Amino acid sequence: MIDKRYDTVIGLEAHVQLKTRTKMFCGCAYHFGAPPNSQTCPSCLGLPGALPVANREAFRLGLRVGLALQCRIAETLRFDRKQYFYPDLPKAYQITQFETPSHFDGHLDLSFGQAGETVHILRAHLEEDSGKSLHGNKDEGTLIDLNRCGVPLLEIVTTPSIHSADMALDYLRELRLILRYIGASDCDMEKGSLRCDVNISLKPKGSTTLGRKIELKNLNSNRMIKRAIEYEQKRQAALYDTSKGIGAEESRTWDDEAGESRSMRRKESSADYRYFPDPDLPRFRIAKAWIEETKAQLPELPGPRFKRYQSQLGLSAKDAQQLVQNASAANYFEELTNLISSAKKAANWVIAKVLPALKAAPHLNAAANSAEAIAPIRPTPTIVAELINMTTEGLISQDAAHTLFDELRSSTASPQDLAKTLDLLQLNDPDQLRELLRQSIDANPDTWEALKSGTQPAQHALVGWAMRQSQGRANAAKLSELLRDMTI
Amino acid sequence: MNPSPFDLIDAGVVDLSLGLHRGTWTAVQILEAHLEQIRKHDAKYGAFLSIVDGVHDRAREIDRKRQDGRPLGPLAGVPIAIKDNICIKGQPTSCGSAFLQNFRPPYSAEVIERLEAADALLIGRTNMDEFGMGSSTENSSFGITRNPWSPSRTPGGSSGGSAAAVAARMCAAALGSDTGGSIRQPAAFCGITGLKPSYGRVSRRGLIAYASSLEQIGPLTRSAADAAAILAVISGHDQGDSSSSTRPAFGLDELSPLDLKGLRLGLPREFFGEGINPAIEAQIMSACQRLRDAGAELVDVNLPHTPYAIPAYYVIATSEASSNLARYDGIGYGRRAEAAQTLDEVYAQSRSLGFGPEVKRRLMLGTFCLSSDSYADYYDKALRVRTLLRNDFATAFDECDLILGPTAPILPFKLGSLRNDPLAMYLSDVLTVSLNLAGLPGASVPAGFAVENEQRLPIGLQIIAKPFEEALILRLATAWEMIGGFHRESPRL
Repeated sequence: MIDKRYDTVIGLEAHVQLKTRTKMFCGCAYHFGAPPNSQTCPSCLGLPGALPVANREAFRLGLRVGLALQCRIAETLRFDRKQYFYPDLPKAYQITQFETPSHFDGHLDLSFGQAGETVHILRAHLEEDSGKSLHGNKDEGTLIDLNRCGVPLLEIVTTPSIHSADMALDYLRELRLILRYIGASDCDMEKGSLRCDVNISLKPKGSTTLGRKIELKNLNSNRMIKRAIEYEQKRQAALYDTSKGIGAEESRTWDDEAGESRSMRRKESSADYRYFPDPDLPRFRIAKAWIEETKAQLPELPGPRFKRYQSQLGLSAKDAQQLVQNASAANYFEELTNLISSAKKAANWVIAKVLPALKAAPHLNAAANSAEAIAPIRPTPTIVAELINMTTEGLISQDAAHTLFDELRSSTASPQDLAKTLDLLQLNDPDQLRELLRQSIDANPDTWEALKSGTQPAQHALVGWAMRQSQGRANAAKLSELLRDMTI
Repeated sequence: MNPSPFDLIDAGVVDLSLGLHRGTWTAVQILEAHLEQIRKHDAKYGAFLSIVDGVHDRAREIDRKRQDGRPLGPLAGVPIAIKDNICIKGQPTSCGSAFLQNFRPPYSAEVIERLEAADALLIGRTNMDEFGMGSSTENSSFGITRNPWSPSRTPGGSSGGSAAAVAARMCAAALGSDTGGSIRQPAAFCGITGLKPSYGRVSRRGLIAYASSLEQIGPLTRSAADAAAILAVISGHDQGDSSSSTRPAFGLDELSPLDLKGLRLGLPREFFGEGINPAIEAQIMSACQRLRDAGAELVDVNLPHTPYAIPAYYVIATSEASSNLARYDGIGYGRRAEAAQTLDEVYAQSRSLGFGPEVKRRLMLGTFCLSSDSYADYYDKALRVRTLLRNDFATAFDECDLILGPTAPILPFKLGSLRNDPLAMYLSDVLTVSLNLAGLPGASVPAGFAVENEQRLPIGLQIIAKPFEEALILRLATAWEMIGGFHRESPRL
């Protein structure tokens, strides 16, 4: 057990693509999967003479993230050039914020998983993405796709305040949830809109000196992050056990197939990026009023919402968490709760019907996965509230209500009309119900005798027979009531 | 009656467009006269790298426009030469560098679009020092350019081709770019007018960057009025250039005649005396005295940090250049080194082969200045000098309305004479670089001649104003033209 002898220290660098209409410094749109080099212009291609013009929307989304992560906000935004040669970096420099990150010194108090733990945010800065190198086999060589060049990124860097793979994942999951809530990013790891590097080191249990750190790259899923961290814990522990430990800081790439990390480059000859302020971009003063305005427009974040659902609405932690994980479904839930004044009932409905409907329609889920929108699901909360009222009044059964929900996904009829059309209105007439019970007794004389001699389960059998006879339309509660009257 | 070609090539921007509007001549006639001048003389002077494809069609189009009674732009039919570092869509744009020999930009610079919208005739591309690095146009990959006043001498640089073309009447005006004096010094050497606008006055979009925080595009012409006519078209805010000013464009209505009475002209002590050719100093002093005789007041001013301008300039300019030119890597541009095996070798070898010695010198200097160990001692310090220089000028302008001095400390020198002395070449920028560091507008206007070896060599008077006071510069220049008259002189080719 490594845990007994060593503490693990982890810091994460998340690169998040901001959900802007156009790129960070030009007017090109970016859609994942578009034909290579089809979404470019002189500016993002870095053609001679082309100039960058900053995207205000990227500032706004960055600011939202900074505020959501309780960061301090820089009063002036400045951009620097980070210089290195690579074929998918056509200007041979990346525009980033080196000297003064726009947001810094924040934190995220985890609400799910290892709730109560705090991850500290060192900085969150704006920068532009590079293109992509597609390494083919020997004959094909390497192909360059520059579509991604200039896509706005927010790099969110934590301090080394994470202690385990699970905590790293809890942080990433909640970060992703927050970013989706505030509409800053889709955070889709498969499409590269969230990418994560892990810095990890070990130190003897209780020691306050940090060990040499290793940077893990090429981690494209939560599962890979967890495996890589756990592998690296073991690898580093073995090195400390058998020798002097880690020789030099280095970057290692994760090979998921082999289940191991491999050295990419030693950091001792670390590159000199020759940062300097980009002379093509002015300094941008961020107005206090704009910060305040943006702050006021932030939606309630998942953590506080999760707590409120439990403390104020009396939901179980499990239900509350399920709802909070999907902002638009949670909004649907709140709307429904307001209409029917029962949070528990609303939660049951949303969990049973709305969430599965959203999952079945990924396009709806993606389009409305922010805290600003109510899940665009038909039937709307108003219609569902009517369904719930119809069940409360005994007009339809719970099962019929669920059937009606499914029908109303594609129908614009009123629930009442649809219930009639589909013959789902409940049979409530006492005479008809008694007739059904009499038929049940006639068909099951032995059961009837058993009931009269006090065998309670026999009641269910008789009511069940009557229900089947009515093809489910009879009001089961009323049947039981009437049957009880008949035995007395 | 056909106009004589001599009238056409000697007429300036304002007269040419006026004549075209009136029907005195056609755009095709204007074009032919200038092309004939180029054919006759440019083999000797080497001002042009190429003639713009389709310029004849463009001239015919302008004439058709006039015949149809459609409105004509303010520069209709005016043949303008363009420095080789300003992008013209589909036309070779090589920055005087073999690295960009085959580069044809898919877009035009903002200034080009504005000139085209004003119905100007973009006639050809002019030679320059590779990437604007040089003061003599000897650093071009495509051959040298000669001074029309004395073919054994440099026309100055880096906009030497533009200056020579205007002086030799091969075009009515040219665009240059000025990073440390590259419009003003060649204008001085070629006896014409060159204006470096205030930083932010003219869009840099499509100007192939050398040192982004210093450079501006500006006109080279044979009169102040012509420079004003061009500036009025190319200036003004461009959304595509974040450093472009949101002030309104320069307007010709700002050019009322200037009453010299009471105008305070500052003469900075640091711009005279040691290091300045005595013939130049004498001619500039004479010009100043004639202005005083006409009513202006001469005031002594100080620019105490001037000695630091050259080192600060060369740190900032080369640092920015080392970044701006990193994209020329043998992969996207230039010839890829054939012997290279690894990616790093492709970069190193292609760049070693592709760039000329002066560019390499400056890239190495800039790369060194920005390295993390040197940044504080060089780049950061240079930025502080920049602030001090700006303050120097602000203080000086408390006491005067314009600052005057020589444009260059030396006369047009013999080709090849400074090639092996880069430092002497750098020092020849001493009077111009401060303006770029401070972002101020400045012009060089003809102020007479010095005679060396029986050759008349032009001398330039530099006029410097507060930011965005180009109008005052041009008004004084016009007043000076009436007193001095040197702008009417032309070289015998």
